[in-house]
Amino acid sequence: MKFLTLFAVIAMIFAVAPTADDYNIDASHSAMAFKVQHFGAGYTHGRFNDFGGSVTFDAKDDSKNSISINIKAKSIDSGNAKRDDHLRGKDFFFAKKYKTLTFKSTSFKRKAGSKNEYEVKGVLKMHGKKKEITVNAKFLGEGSDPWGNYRCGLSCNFTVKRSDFGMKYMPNGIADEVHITADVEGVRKK
Amino acid sequence: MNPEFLKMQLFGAVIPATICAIVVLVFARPWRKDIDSLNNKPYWSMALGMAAGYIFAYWAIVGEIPSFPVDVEEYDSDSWLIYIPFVLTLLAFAHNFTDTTISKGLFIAISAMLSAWLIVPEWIVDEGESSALLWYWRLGFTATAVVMFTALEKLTNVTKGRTFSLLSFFLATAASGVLVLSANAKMGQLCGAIAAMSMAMFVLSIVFKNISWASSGNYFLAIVLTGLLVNGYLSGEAPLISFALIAIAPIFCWGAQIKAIQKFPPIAIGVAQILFAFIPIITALLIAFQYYVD
Repeated sequence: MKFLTLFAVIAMIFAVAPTADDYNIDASHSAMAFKVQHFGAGYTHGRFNDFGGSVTFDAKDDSKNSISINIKAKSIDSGNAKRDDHLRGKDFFFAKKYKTLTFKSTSFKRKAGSKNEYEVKGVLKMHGKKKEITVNAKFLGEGSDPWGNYRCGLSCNFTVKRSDFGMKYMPNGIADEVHITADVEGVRKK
Repeated sequence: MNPEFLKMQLFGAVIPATICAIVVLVFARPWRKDIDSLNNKPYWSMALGMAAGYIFAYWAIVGEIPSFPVDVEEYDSDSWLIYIPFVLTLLAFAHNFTDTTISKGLFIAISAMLSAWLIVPEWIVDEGESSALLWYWRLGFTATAVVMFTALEKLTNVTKGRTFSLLSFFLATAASGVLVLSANAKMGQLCGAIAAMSMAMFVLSIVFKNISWASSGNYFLAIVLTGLLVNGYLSGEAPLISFALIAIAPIFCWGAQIKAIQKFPPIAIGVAQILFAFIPIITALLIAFQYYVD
């Protein structure tokens, strides 16, 4: 009897324990946005609407932290349907050939002297090309929602050169540097 | 006028057309009196001129020239179109020695088949899927290029007019329009460069009567224009019919071969040939525009 009770208690502990702080990205409360300078003047903004991924986050142990994001290239949305067709086309993202953009972190280290800012290194694959990049990530907070989900939030910023990924069309009209903001909210896996 | 726009027109159209014209003038020397002798046929110089103009236009528009062989992961398969015209120049040159219907048929069939292998992009078939679709497109490309070449080449020999550089101008301009409407601006600009080169050849053909479009411009048009149209459809956003109508427009020129039109002077016949080609060209543009607006 004692053995069964002990087994039940252990089983319950494992059933409710957080699985190493693994989170699924909640796309409806996250954003993958970018901005790029147009003809040396203003910024043109855009976003990707279809993405997913996962985050593993442990505030006490950086070595466990990781982030992985998959973005559907065809979901690009710059607020102008005709421009989006062009961005999806061969001159830019070439979404028919390169269907997804991915980012996988390789290291996730807290910045010296900071409580909640991290330097995340990882590999960004875009337009069929892979490149290691560094992302500035800020842990925004965590907490439970009324429906029993446990959530955490990260805000990430980084800049890439589109030419590094073979996107070289209109070098005079569209700046090479693209500024990207990935605001990610994760729901802890149950 | 806006300096950026002028720079775009200068590098993407005017200079390629000038390069094409200079190459033709240097190598064909169309003012010579012995131009009609077998060994001095100027055919290949126009193919070389268009190849040189096109590669310059590619550099001006894209900003770099992919090294040979083309890495299709980096540039995609249509970038082969900057090298293929130089091979077509060799075929045009070979017509100095064999200028028969059979040799022309063989040359265009083989060059179209080999080009199809390079130009039709393999990414149209997802990993693990049957490659049947790829083969349909390769066959379609080959058939279209052969039909376009044959329709133009036979008519060139029949009419011996200046129609074809002008027709090429309209075909390339229309192709440029459809490509831009289908969200393929880069390929649209390349077609614009072809249109500019064709116009330069038309001007030269007015000055020098010996400038011939046969077995040179026709090779270039059949392979390069068809290649751009196929890639434009596969990667863009416009109905297939728009691209197909431009590719088959040269067949419509044969409408001017009816007896009632043949009674007219050569210039009127030339105009009629272009007007017949306008039927599919304008239809293609209207369909692409309607799709764009919708």
